[in-house]
Amino acid sequence: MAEDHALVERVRKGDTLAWRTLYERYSQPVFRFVSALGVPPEEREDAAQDVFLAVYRGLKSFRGEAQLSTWIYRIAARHASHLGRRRRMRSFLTLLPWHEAEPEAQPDPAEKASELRLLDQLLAKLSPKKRMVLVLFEIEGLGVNEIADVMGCPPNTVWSRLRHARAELVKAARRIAR
Amino acid sequence: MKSPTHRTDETDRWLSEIIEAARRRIGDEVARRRVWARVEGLPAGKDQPRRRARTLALPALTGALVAIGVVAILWLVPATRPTHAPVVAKRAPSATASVPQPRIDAARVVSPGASAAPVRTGRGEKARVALVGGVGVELDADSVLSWDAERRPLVERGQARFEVPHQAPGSRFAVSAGPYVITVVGTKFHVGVVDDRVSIAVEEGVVEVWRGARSVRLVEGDSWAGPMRGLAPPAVQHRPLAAGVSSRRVSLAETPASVDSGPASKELAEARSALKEGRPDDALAMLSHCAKGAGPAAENAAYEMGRVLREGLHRPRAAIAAWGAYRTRFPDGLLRAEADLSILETLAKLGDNAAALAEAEAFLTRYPSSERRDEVARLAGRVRGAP
Repeated sequence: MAEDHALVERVRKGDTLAWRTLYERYSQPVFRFVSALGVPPEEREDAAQDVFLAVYRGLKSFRGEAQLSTWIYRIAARHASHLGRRRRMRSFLTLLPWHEAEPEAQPDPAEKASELRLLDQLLAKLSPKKRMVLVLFEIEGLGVNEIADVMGCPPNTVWSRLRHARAELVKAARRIAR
Repeated sequence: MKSPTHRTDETDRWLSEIIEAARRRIGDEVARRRVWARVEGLPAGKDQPRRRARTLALPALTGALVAIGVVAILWLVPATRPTHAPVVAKRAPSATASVPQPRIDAARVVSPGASAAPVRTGRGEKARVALVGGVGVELDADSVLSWDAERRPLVERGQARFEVPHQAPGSRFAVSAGPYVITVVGTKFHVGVVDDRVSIAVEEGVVEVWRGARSVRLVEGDSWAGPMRGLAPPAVQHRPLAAGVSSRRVSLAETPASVDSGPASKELAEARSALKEGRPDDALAMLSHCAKGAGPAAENAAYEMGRVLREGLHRPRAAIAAWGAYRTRFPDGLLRAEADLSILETLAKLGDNAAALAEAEAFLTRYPSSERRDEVARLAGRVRGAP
């Protein structure tokens, strides 16, 4: 944590190497996180760019009360939610009779592994909040208190969402396995 | 990392496995590099991202209403969205090949889902193709332009000149040629696919040529050429340019992670210059010194030592040792996959089949979803079949 704060200080002073170190440390988690939250491959690059732009701008006011990783996850979560809302609005608009159908999303060529595609399908069946809790806990490895910090809700709510998310995921997986 | 709760049955175990796969998801390295190229200049107050970022929260209800309105309008008028699907292909008849090309007028729109037929030109015949988004393509004689699986224009054979207007924020125009993908924001450039070589020359603007996780950035006046097949990195080739346009040779060695701007990178840049000037011993000495430091420049230097040893000094075994040292020091480095592949291809070239096979298997285990998985698997197959 102290190392992260020193890194933030260096970035604030305009140290480009520190900025690159920060990017290298957190870009893979950010890409993985937005992917697991259902941001389609063609939007991930722009999503990650927006997250790091927000991170850079926000570093000036980052007080270090939370861990740097938690703070970056919070920014990424907010942005992924925003993109999710936009996607749902787009899907809604495609239902209108005069609207041209959306072209089918292309799978990410870097992620051809069938288990990842399957997991994405299963996660898509969860509500956005449950999906986020599950992804942060199971895939990103955050603790419940950290997740509560990222999502701005009490830890008990996190536990509850996590329990329901797991149950729904298992149920969906059993349906597929049948 | 927490393990999932007590799951006992088969489905639960299977779920645990796919969640574990998601934890190891390495994602698209090329995308990660592209994003870095757009945000790297932020501390220096330069190279602002090409795409204007949206604010993460709507500041007020008015803003929200305006945004919703704009989004609704944008999505209700789909015809204005640029795609790279072909609109029209007008072919100049053979007899008029030497006269000015025909003007391209608005014509039949092919929907994005339709499969477009390739555009072919015979000897003495030229064609102009207009793509949605205002992209113009001039196809030279004896050339073929088609579309790849991702509906990008694909130069299969011959020469094509692309004129790409500045793209909408967030979108990039891409052209395929052999194993390369050329991405642009707005520019004029030529792509040639002749005799198993892909060549690119830039008239205006900037283009990036990607192959797997490696890329080269070309600016106005630059030209570049690479082989159509094989694992070896593309060789530098000078292509004559129009009079008055300065040329600059470029090589992939400049770029895999050449995002250095700090003080430690000065030596790295000097080493690259020495290499380009044909002084590999000097380059190696500088890289070796730079690699003793810390940070990204040291990491790059540690990796590039292997390249200098193999390509500049023709010492493949020493190169393998240098990449091995890189892996030991930077087990999760940005260039780890490149180092793994470099070792693999060098061992294969040396005919050390057992070691190459072990490397290939380790690569496939380490990067189960790598976009270069098929390439490595093919190489492993060839090595297995070798006597």
